[in-house]
Amino acid sequence: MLDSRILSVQSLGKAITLHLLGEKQVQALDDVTFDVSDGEFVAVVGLSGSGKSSLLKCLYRTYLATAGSILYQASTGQDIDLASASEQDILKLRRNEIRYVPQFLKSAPRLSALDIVARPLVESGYDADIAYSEASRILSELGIGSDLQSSFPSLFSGGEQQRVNVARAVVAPSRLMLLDEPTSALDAENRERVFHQLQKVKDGGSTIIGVFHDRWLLRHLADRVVVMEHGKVAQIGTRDEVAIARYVGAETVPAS
Amino acid sequence: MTGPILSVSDLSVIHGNECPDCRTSTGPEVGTNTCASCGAVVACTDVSFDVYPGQVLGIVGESGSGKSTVLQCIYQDLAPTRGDALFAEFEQGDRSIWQANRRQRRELRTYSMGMVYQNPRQGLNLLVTAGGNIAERLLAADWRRVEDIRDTASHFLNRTEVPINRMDDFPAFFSGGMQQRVQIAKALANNPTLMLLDEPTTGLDVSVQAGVLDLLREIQSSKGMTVIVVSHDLAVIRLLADRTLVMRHGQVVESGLTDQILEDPQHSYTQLLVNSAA
Amino acid sequence: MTSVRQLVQDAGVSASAYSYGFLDETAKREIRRKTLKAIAIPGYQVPFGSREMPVSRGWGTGGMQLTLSLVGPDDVVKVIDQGDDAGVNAANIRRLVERTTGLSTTLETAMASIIQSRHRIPEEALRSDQILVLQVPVPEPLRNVERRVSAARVMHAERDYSKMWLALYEDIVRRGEVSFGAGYPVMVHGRYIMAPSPIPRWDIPLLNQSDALYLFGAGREKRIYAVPPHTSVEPLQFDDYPFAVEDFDGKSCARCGANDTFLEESISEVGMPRFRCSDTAHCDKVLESREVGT
Repeated sequence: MLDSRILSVQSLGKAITLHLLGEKQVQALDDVTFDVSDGEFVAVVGLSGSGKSSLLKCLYRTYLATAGSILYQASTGQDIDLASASEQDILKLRRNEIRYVPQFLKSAPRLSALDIVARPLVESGYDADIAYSEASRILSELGIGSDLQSSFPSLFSGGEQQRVNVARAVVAPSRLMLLDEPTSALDAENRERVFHQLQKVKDGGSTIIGVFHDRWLLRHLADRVVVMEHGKVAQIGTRDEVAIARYVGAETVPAS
Repeated sequence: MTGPILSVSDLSVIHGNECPDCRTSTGPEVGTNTCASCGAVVACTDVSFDVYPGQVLGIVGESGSGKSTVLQCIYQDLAPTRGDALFAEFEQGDRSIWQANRRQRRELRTYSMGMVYQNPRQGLNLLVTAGGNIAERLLAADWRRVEDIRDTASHFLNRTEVPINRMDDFPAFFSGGMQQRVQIAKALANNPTLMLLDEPTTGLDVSVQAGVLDLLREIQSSKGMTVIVVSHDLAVIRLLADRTLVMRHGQVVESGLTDQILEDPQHSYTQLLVNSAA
Repeated sequence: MTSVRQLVQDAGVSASAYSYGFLDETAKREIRRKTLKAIAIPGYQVPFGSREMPVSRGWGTGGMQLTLSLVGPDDVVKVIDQGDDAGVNAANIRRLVERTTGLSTTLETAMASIIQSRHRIPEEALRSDQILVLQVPVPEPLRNVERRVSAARVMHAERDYSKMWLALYEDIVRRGEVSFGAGYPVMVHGRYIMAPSPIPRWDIPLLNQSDALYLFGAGREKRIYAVPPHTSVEPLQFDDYPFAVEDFDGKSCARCGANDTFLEESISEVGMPRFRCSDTAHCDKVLESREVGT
């Protein structure tokens, strides 16, 4: 287990100082420690405000950690502390091995769904033909038909936008995926489509750390669960070891 | 890992007689650009940063923050009072571009850098045609075939979505958005290594802004061009920049990855800026 | 109007009371020095202290100062105006040279050691022992593309001629060709763009790798410049829009019959266009040889 460790979060802390509110301090994360093995699917659960998103953002360096370290073993074998690495190194990792998938689609407007999903492939050097046919295939698998693919996602429903978002994330999976509630607006049928895509990514060897509220997804995908409470790790263990009932919705079984 | 393409250190631009108090009597803590002791206007002090190949660096700040001054110094529209800028394409980065002679400076502008000004009038010669504006840069680079020049001008006008049938018209009669597109085409014409954008969308209507931003973003990512973009508008910075410097009263108050600056700003001024925009 | 001679006579002195060649020795020395500098830096405009001459500025005072500072006891001077030895201005300048130097002048190109000219280069090939002095109204070739004199000087210093090339490009875009008629800009020795004075395109190739020395004098603008012998002089041209001289295809001189000279068009008594050699001395010579031959 130790040999295949890809991420080691040690005593991670994040305090936010709000200068505009009389230097008020908010402790978003406090002494967070856990390891992640290569290829593992770790679900982060917790009530809102418990620090789930802050954790993911610290891992991606959108937030600057104020304590502790985040040792990431890069594909080169080198250990990099994501909390203190140079901006150049972080940008390089973001380009090549670490991807953050936000809850909602954030993309340049005036791009079609197909453009958005094909772009990661084009940027990693695929021919436009291949990139677009692959993007189209994945969008179809996620229930976005070809009629929608050529229109602007800003006109889509929340659920459709989220599936475009997932499609963009899984079209060219990276070594470490950080998913911030990408299934929050999905119905049971579409959730299962997303599940299949994530399963494929996992089978492809990617390590996934994701914030999820959905018990069914947790049960079927998560190897381990990290439970957050008030910025600290309250529980950590396999999906059978931890009590997650408080933090996730009731289980809804997909129709099929 | 390759080194920076541009490395600026301790850039200061001071208008007027400098005195020893200039540094301490101006800046974000004091809240002014004017030195109380000697009256000199401190446009910027001790600005340092690196830009790496293929990266987009954003510089954000309000007017008077010194952000445009930095860009003007790099493009050598303005001579700095102090500082060094090592550029990979100038003497292998061994000597500051601010020590270059006039001919070398012109070569840097002709072959290595492109500039897009906020006001198209500054970057375009309105007395010559749109195609002629692009031709000017190619002619400076010793192009001597009209056909090649016109092919290249059409290519870049097409790239920036300016109708080719306007190529031989005067940009003075174009809309602001189209003038800006011609200016971008002109800046791109010699395939510069470093593109400098000074408030490229500020003077434009909102609907036109979006199109120009899309264009810049698309060109940047497809060419892997290195860019420094200066803007007071966080939306522009968010869309274009990988890394961002926040400037106020001539000094850098904060720098970081753009998403970090926008979501986890450290300095009180940046927090104000981000919260005002939201 | 009172002539110089009249004034001289009234004062009771003879023409010989004037310095040799009208200019005083200090002036001649300065002009010669500036001329040497101009020859040393082909195409570069050397400022000089242009003197008052007994004609208005703009009437060839630059050329006159060059001629009068160069002329020595062994010289033979020829003066032409737009190719014509009989032009009023040419005749007056010729007379001034005669009276202030005591030298004789000539109408024959081959006989002259110094030829002062306005707007033409003689058709007959010049020799290495001849000097052509051209009168220049506007010495700055960048005048039309850069009105600020200081900026134009910087452009010359840095050999930054993209604005000039841009003007040619715009000309081609708007008119389908470079529309410079007289005074077509040239690149001298690959370094300076030079205004060749308002000579026709026809004469431009004669400047290149010539055996003779060309001197240019602008009296009003106070500039001297030069094209030394065997110096490269290239008209500015695009690869796909090459420079071409005036086309006189199928036309010939109505007087001497030459079809290989620069022709001037006029209207005959019966209202028909008629062409004649612009270089009158050359025309006479052709005519003479033809009469001898027949």
